[in-house]
Amino acid sequence: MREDIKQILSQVEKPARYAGGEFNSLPVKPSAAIKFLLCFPDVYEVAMSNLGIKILYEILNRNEDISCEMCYAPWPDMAKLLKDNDISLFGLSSQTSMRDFDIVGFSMQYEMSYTNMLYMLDLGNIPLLRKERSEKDPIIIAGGPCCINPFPLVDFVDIFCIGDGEYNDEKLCMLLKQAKTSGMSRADFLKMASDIEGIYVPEIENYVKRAVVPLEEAVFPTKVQIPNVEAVHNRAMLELFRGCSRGCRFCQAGMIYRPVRNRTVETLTKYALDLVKNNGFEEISLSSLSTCDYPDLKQLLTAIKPELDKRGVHISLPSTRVDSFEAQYAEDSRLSSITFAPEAGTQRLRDVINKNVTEEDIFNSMKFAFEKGYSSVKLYFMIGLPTETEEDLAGIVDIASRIKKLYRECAVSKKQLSITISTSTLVPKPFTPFQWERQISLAEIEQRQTYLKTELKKIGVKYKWHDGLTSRLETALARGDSKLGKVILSAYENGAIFDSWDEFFDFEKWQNAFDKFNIVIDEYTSEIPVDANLPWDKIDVGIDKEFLKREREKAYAKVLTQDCRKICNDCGIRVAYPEIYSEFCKKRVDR
Amino acid sequence: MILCKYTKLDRAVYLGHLDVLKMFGMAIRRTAIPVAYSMGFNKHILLYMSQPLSLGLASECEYFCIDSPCDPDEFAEKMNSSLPEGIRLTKAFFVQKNPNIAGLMCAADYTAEFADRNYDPDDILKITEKPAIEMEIVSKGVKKIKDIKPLIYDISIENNFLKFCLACGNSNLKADRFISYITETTGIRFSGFITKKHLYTAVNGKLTDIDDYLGK
Ligand code: SF4
Repeated sequence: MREDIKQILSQVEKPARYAGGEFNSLPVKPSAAIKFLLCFPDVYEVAMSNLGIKILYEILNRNEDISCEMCYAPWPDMAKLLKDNDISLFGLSSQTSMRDFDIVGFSMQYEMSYTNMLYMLDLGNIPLLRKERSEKDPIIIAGGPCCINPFPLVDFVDIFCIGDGEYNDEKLCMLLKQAKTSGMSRADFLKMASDIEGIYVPEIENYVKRAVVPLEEAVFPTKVQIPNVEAVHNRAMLELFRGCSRGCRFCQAGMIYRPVRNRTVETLTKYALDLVKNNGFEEISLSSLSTCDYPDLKQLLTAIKPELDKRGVHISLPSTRVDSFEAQYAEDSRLSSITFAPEAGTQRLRDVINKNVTEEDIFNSMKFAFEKGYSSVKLYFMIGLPTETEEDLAGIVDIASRIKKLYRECAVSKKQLSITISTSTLVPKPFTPFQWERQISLAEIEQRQTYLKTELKKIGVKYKWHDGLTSRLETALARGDSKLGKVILSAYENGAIFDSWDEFFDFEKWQNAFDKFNIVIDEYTSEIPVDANLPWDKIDVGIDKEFLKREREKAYAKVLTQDCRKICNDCGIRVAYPEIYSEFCKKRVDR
Repeated sequence: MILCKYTKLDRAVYLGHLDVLKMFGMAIRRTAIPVAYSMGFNKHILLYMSQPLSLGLASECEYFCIDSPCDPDEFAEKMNSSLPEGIRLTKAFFVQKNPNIAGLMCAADYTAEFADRNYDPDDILKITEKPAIEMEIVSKGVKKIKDIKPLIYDISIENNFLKFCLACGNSNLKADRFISYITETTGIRFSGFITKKHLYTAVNGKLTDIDDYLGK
């Protein structure tokens, strides 16, 4: 352990965040050709709950030529100590400084972590602007869902991985190894990297097509680093499949991970059992976009349940269809709350967004849960959906009061019912049918929240809402172009860090940054003409823009689109990825 | 019940008390060793740990007690294959009941390594020759001057290490606080971790290693 690091760890809060040595950490390979620092731009406990970086950590370290270690955003107390003592941010296993790695990779999961990427680079003493980096600086790469529209970050990132990351980080490492041995320049390396499918290099501005990985053969980590400090979600994670067949029109994940790719039940059974043996979590979460859609869920649960029971591990399943057979498996003795996401308050609006959930579904699920003894309900809705009126908001209140009535009629628990309603504001995201929609104004957001606050209070229902300013910023960053790079940098210079944390988020810092360059946020949040060129048109995710337009028209006409398991809706995958299409879409539809 | 003695060294010195408890729980679930669980809603493993160790202090003499039908040696062996860097079970044996180490202990031995060799051993030994050693302590937000001399049982220098024995338990002197007092008053610096080496109980007014007292 480095003595200088030891000195500051004795002064910092929760030093275990920075100590490394987690159980199941993979050995550092000091003589590996490529040293990779995998970064997650949020605090340890949040980062440790993310599955994506665990997958990459495993894949990269399996390669003899690569030594990969982790790094997370230090809490501000640690950042201050690092600066005061002139210590650069370091990899947690070997305590090597960030700038001594060959590649520094960032996982970008949410827009509000953009400034934290700069914060980490800064603490690592790496020039923030890619144009200012020299031959000896590490290559900065970024991946994850936010990079589907990389343009707001093009000033800072050398290479983007668009789409599934399973193969591309490793490919980049191998290419860099080759480049290093042959003495290739940084510029030539970047040029070569841009030829890899799924890689976007801002310097080259190359055409890029999203990387899509057939999941079954891809590596999945069943031995994961056990956090020193308890993670936000301290559980084993099993990804059953990637993609979602439901086609909700507001959902970016449901579009950009198409098509649905299932793992086989045999493989998943093995992974699940290995996960509980190797890690010791109390809970295993079957996590996918719409987990209950997994066709062999029953078979999987039957196969893993005995061993899990023996070890006292319970299964967490999103309870979207609690009346289903599967739910019985997910029950635990604690009868914690049941969550449901109708997203909109009336059937009309649910049809607009293609959320195939009926009132009957909601109330059947609730009835089932109450008869089982549940006494706590959490419901998630969105506000600001296209065509939304006061009637739709009233619908939310109505659902809540009818659930209360249902509870009086059929509850078996003696406890008082607790209902919590949470709303988020629609953030119209790239590559969704709503990508052209305006986001409702701050005044409208607040007015609709006030309505719900008042009405829900009357019937004694708890209400939680997302901060409107955050939602506006999220839209600007999600739909942003390369002009926003200087705004992000300036916000960071104004002191914006940990923007996803209420206690840190300070909109002023952002507002000043926008003002400095005479850019108005409304430019990014208002409606975009459907024939306009979009910044992200340059990224080919394999989804046909015409399909998105059709879906938008259907939204306004309140016409539903069927689940991809029933028919193919011709979203563009068939043309863009013929092999993937016949392997995953065609087979499923033909069944 | 099985009483286990374990180390907390290297990077593990930064794990908090509750984090260590969680870590043992996960290790037990990994190894699938049968242990007793609490009754009720939130079932948890019944594992009793000795007093929390200050963050940043290393130790070779931490203890926990657990109810398991497993053979103690087998328990230790299985656990040791499933613990992170720095945590090792060094002893495990049957006890009739939880011996309540926290109630038994009254002193502990520590070592701290000198950062360099530029120090005069007499500087340290001179401190202990004073009739009273006044140290400022902050207790519940209030600063107080306290004579710590009665809490220092022994102090010596060996192979570039300062070895010292302090009261711990009901009357207590924190090792890290004592070391910073030495640095503040003499300018002598230390490196590495302060390590707690042995834990003692009093038998007929004599310090006796807890392990010997328990007959192991
Ligand atoms: S190609 Fe057809 S089945 Fe496949 S994801 Fe697109 S719409 Fe669904």
